[in-house]
Amino acid sequence: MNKYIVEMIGICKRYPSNGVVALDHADLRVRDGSIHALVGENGAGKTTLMKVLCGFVKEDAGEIWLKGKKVCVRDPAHAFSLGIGMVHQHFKLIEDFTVAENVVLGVEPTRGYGFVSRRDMYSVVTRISEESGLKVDPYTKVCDLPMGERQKVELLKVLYRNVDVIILDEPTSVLTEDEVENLFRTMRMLKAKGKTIIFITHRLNEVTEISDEITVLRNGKTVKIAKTSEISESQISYAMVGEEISVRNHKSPSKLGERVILRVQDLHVGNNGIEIVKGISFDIRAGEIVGVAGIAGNGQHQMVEAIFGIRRPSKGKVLINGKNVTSSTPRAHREAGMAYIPDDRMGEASCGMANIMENLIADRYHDTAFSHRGWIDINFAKTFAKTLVSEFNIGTHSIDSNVGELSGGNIQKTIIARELSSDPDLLIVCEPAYGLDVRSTKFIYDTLLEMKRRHKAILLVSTNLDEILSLSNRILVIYKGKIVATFDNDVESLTKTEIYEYMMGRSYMDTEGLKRAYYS
Amino acid sequence: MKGLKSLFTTSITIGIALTVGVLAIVFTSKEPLIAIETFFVGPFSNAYFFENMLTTSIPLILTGLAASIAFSASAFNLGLEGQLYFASLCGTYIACKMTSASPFIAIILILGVAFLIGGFIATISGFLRVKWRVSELISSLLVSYTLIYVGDFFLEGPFKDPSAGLSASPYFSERFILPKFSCLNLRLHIGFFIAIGIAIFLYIFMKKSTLGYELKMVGKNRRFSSYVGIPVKRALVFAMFISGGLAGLAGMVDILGVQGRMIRGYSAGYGWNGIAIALIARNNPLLVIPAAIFFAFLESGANVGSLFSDITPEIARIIQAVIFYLVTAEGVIFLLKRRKEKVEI
Repeated sequence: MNKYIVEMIGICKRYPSNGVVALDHADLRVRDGSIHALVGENGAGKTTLMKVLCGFVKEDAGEIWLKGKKVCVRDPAHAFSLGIGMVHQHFKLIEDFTVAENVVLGVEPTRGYGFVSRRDMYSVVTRISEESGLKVDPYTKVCDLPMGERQKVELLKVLYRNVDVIILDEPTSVLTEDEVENLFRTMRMLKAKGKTIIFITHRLNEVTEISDEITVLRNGKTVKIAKTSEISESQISYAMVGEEISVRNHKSPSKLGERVILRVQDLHVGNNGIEIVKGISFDIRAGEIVGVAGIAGNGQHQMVEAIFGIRRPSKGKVLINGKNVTSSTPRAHREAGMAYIPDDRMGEASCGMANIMENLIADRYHDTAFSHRGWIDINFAKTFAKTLVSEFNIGTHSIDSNVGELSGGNIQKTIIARELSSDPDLLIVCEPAYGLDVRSTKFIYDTLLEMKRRHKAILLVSTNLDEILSLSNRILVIYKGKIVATFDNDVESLTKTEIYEYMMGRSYMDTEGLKRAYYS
Repeated sequence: MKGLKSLFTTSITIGIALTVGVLAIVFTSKEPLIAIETFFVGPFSNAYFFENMLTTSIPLILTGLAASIAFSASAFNLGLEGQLYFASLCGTYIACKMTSASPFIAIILILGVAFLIGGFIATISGFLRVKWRVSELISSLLVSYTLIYVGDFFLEGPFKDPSAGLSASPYFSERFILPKFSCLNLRLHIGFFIAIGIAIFLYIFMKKSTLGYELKMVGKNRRFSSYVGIPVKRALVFAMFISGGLAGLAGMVDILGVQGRMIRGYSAGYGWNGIAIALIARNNPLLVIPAAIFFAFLESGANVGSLFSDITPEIARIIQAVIFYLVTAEGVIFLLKRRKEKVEI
């Protein structure tokens, strides 16, 4: 058994701006040359603990030992010089730079006089790329790379700085299944080269597949340390949430209403002259969840924005409850009975710099209940916000807190609270559980199923096939802006691999099979 | 906590700027101690100087509010100077043409016209922004510069008072001069209360009105606003209109209250200083008042200093410029960050 390379003992961190205790005497011991999984719910303190290790955040108390020596990490640059590097969940890359420029940024090879030697830069990046097996063309601009490739660039960045300890913060959340496999291969290879990897994740199957040891955090405390081979998934899950939560199969068949809530007819959407959505038609009836499966970037985003009125379709119609809302404003769509939960929680679905109340009233501040003659009834709005906060159990001290200070799960709850409070007939929801812990995920799934029971219609867009399979009545598969397959999900034999074939564009259904998408 | 931090950075900014100013005095003055004393104490040394300082602050409060309203919505109205200049030219023209109207109605009409003209000029940039995504920052700046020259053309030619020795419009009727409220019958006029009143109104407006809410949310996150159904384009155009209108009002109030006619180049950077004031006040309409008075203090200090010692009035410009550099460096980074978040409207 190897010695510990990283030891963090009794780390405490309280964020003074919102009084949140992120870490409460957390411990972490990582062995040299191992893959160590760090798991926990959202807000358990995983990322904060790693930020402490990398010098992004200063701990209030506790000790950090590195290779047997006590250290004090001043800032990220110091962490690099100590041999610690982190790959963030949200990539920190400059899109207009080439791969090599991104990799060397901050530590550029020079030949003196402050001039960057581009030749050295490309040769050194090519060498690292070949040695590590992370094959990326160093001359490509990052904006032209898919997510999986961008992650490789992040890894190259860390390797270029010659670190021993690599921290991966939820690296799989943005990747497709193939890319995840590739990442795991890379991780094993890095381990074989003697690197130590700390791997933050929510997905328990990944923990058991790749890690040697595991540390579980809950509410900022270390609650479990074990060898992966000696612990079961349900034990880990129990340690994470403090109770057993089973993510059961939800696809209980329900009685479909006859009423068509949403009808999309021959929808085309273009962007800068390129057609991205190429003629999509489908119906959603009351009491139905329709799942749209597809690999990110196949037009589902543009399709949803066109359905909701954020984007103007170049052709086609959108009808809600029989009313034509094509090309009208998002507000008109909302008034016609639609609600929408986008996948980009911080950039679009919420306003981080505004407080909870301002976020919750954003779709209805102009209602007669909230404002008279152009003046908002602030007291009424506050009461409204407080009701929603307690109804949806949003974890916050006050409705005056900025949404940006909440944890991921609570931000999503705030968004859902706003979107559902208008009691919509149709809810469009994209990646609802992306990056959330088991408890929040369950809450969100239960909410969607409850809506379905109340004869509402739901359009679920997700890249997570498990989510699609466990929730939807019908599944549409989107590939390059077209629906290439539809499935009735009552069929028990439907497998992920079968859907995957269509997602990858390896097969198409004929027109007869596709007709099922469109009832009338 | 956040408030304390920004107070701290603002104090440092002002501290550095004043230090630079003091150094400039030390290097240029033959009697630096007296010069520094008159500079800092002068504006408070008697009622006349003090009132002068407050009078100078009036247009600055209004341009500060103009900038802060636009910035709250992340609409960058950099054309305040031209809007102010051209709007007050139009207002002055009306004032000269109306001789028999009752002062009360005339003053309201003149101020209203200046507001509408200033607002209209800024609205052009707002409209270009939402219609063809032309950066309002560039277009307002370009339009503004052009209008300053157009205004100068009128003051040099068709609208010049032939009997005046300098490029200026004729004097309008003295009855239209804004009433003074000072017991000493000096310069301080009711414009001061108009400005303070507008600041308080805008503070409440941003906090409680639906339009204010829209401006604020659009300023904080444009993509979010568009998604929840806020009419983003309307909010941007509205912000530009109010901003330009307040700039026009700033110029007109100064002319009606102090000048009595329009003199070429009378504004001396009210518009630009308004931008710096809004940045120091962090777009808070109430904080605009002390920030504007501070700028007026620098101006008066330099004027008093040049009367009683050997410093030049330009010392105020130096300090204001340093503040402008420091505050914009900080403010622009903040605004650019915000701007990056939203992609399209």
